[in-house]
Amino acid sequence: MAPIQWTDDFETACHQAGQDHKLVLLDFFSPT
Amino acid sequence: MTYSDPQVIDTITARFVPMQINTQEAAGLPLVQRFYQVWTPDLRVVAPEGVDLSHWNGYLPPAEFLPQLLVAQAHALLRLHDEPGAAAVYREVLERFPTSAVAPEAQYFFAVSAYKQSHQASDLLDNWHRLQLRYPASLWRVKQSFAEEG
Repeated sequence: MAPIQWTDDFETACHQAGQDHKLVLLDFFSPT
Repeated sequence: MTYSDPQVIDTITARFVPMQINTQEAAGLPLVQRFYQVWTPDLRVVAPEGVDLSHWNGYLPPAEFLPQLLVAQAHALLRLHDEPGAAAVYREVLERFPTSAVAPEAQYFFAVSAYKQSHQASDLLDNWHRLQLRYPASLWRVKQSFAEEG
């Protein structure tokens, strides 16, 4: 199965969510 | 591990636009500050307008991540006044993940979303009553205990 296609561009993510009638899932992470 | 689980991938891809911010990189600082982010993992469900509608902290394995993700989606829909949409997702949690840690919270807010649609007290109280039956030791049972008889 293809991995999740994460973006790091907030404006693009919000715009896309509005177009697709979705919500943004924003994951703040720190590499371990 | 959680993000490689097929059900997690399916759910995130179908319902969300997924975005990650590395909090250790300077490029992430504006969003860290904007969202008052302090601890990772930190997951936010954000409206297209850029507003945080629901969130949680902490690692979860797939069996708990999925119901937590659905409850966060349902909370967001409820805040957006999509009560039927929220109720459907809370119900999904109760049907698919009835023993998950967030199931009592889903039961509590399923009652709220049902009441907000019908404005019938019985929709609230009958569904809250199920907390007493299904999740008697939960904090969410306590949160409706003022409505319990006797």
